[in-house]
Amino acid sequence: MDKTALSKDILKLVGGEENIEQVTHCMTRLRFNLNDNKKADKAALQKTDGVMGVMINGGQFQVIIGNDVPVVYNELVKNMKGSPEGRVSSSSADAGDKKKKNVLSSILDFISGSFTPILPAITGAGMIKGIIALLVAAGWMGTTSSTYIILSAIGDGAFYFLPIILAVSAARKLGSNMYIAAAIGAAILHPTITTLLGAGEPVTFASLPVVAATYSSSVIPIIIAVWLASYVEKAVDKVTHASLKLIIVPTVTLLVIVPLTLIAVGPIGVIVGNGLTDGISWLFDNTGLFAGLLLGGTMSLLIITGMHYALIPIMIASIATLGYDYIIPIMMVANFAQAGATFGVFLKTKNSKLKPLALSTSVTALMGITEPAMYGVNMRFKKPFIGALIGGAVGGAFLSLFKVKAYVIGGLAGLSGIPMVIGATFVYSLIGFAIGIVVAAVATYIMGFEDEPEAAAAAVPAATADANASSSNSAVIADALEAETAPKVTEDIYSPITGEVKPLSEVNDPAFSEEIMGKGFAIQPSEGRVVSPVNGTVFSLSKSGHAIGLVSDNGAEMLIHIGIDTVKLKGLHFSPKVTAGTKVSVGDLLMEFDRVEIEKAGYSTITPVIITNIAEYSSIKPGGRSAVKEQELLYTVQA
Amino acid sequence: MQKTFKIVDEDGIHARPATALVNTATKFKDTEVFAESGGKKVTLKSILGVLSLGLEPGDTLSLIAEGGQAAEALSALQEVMVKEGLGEVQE
Repeated sequence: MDKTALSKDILKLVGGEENIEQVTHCMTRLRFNLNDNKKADKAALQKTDGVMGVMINGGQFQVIIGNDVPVVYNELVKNMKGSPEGRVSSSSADAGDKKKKNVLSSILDFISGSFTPILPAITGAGMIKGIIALLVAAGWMGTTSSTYIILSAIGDGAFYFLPIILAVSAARKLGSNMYIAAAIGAAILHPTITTLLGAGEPVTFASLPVVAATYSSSVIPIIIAVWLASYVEKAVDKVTHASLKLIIVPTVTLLVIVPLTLIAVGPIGVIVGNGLTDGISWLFDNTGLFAGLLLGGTMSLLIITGMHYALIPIMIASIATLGYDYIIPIMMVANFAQAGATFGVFLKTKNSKLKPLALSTSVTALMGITEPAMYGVNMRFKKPFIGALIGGAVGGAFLSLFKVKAYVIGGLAGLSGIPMVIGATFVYSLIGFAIGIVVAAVATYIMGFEDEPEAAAAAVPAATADANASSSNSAVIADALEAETAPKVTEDIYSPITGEVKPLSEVNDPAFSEEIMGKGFAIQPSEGRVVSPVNGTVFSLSKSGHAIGLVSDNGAEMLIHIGIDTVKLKGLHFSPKVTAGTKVSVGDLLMEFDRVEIEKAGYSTITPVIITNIAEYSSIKPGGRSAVKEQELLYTVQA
Repeated sequence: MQKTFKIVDEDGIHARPATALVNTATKFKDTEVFAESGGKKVTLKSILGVLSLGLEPGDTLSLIAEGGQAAEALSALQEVMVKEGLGEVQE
């Protein structure tokens, strides 16, 4: 598909430029921080050709594109007037909504937002380091030649001055001044400071002790420093008169933050950072297969929760300081295991729709795009996901037993990322990856899973089959990722009415079609009876009879709204069979209505059946039927 | 603090206006907002709660806000009531 058109569609569907606070991309996804996620049309985006899926994770609105994401991103940015990295929220009224993010997801969001943009620089530098190593190993270049020195500087520059690069991206992410941040990074890397701190003499600043620490290639000190600087900058900005801001704000920020970093932040950061990298290295060096077993078996879980972003700084720091990293191969084997498990599903399933889906998602996962396989197949059937974890654990154990290292960071954790592990342990890495795939596939095949019955899929009319297949995958994607805060339990909602199932978007009333009132599905009734969709209590019954509110025993609040604008009928053609407060079970008759007369009176009888306290749930999983009878599964509301 | 309204919308407070009120109330995270009518008091942060009041034209509705931003919440709700033609302020 034409990327320009695609990017325009995406810009429109995420709610336009004014809804975008920030947009970055990683290897496969556009990552939006939207002012209001609700303004984005997730359903339409999922249906858009060229979009592989949509998910909301840690408050971030992610659109999965695949390998073409840089092209789409560039087109997208071209169509935007403002800067993509630092769009200031234009409407302050929305500010409250954004505070939904919890602390952990804010931190993860900050880390991923700071590290993802710098990957090209350190990938390029890392590849160059790899090329140099090859040239030297092959004897084509001596380590004393000036060419070698210059090439090494190209390869090392990004790593040595990593704090400056990180300072810029962290400041962009935080919305503070990038150039002040870069100046902080430059100051702590200044050669005279490096010499001073490296000399071994006690150093003081205004009689406060400065701890000797090396800041080159460090990650954590600058992140903390820039984070603190963002507050100092804002605070100073607030109390400074506009005419003096240009002079006062940067001066005070630098004067406060740089000494503070040298005295307090830096040493802590360096100690923590080195502790983490050394600790991980120690684990891999000394515990044999255990480290890989544990990390390989849990990596996919980390990836689902986004926790793996916390590992990226460790990987980068490890490559920058040690020249290699143990985690990247583990991440790769976990992804390969996902591909293997999906392949196991392909071998085992008898469902003619699932078979090709499993095969194609398995191949994409092998290439490093694991989302479709992981969410669309493995997690959907649960046991294959466990199979993938087993494969990751066994493969990971093998990798750590042979101390398989990655020498470069960047690229997808799939076949295309194989150059990352080229080096002394290359052969073992390939064996380890193969073990991960095979074990996951075999484990999945042996354990089996609840195969989807052919009939359920066949009931979907052919014309909508494709759209349905993709949207149900995407729904599963959303399910898995939004389940961060889950005070409620997952609950099945059975159809209250016999008729055709319609998406809410087809309801001709924005309160429903834009999901303002809640989420669910609508039914175009073919009969005039409404029965209870859940076990629960009738909570409200409008006097005009056209709307029934129910609270299920598990706490789901639902509204069945018969027809559009039918409030105007003042109760005509509606005969309620219950009153507010009536306890009901699935299938109990709630209401009869005269479908024909209502339509004759000029009203649509399409009936939204929605969950109004949807904010307490993660998502709605469609029941998969295009037509339902009373008491058949309509959808599942997922905790 | 509280404010009392007389419902004027000829259809009463049905699904759509209830949603408008609930969405406005929900914006104020630190504020408890209740709706009271005919001796029944419900939270204004639940659509079903508001619908269960079954408000008809001529009914009296009291909106009660407590906690931080109570005044802001009430004035935002009043704006919704008046602008959407749902009710008018009673003294």
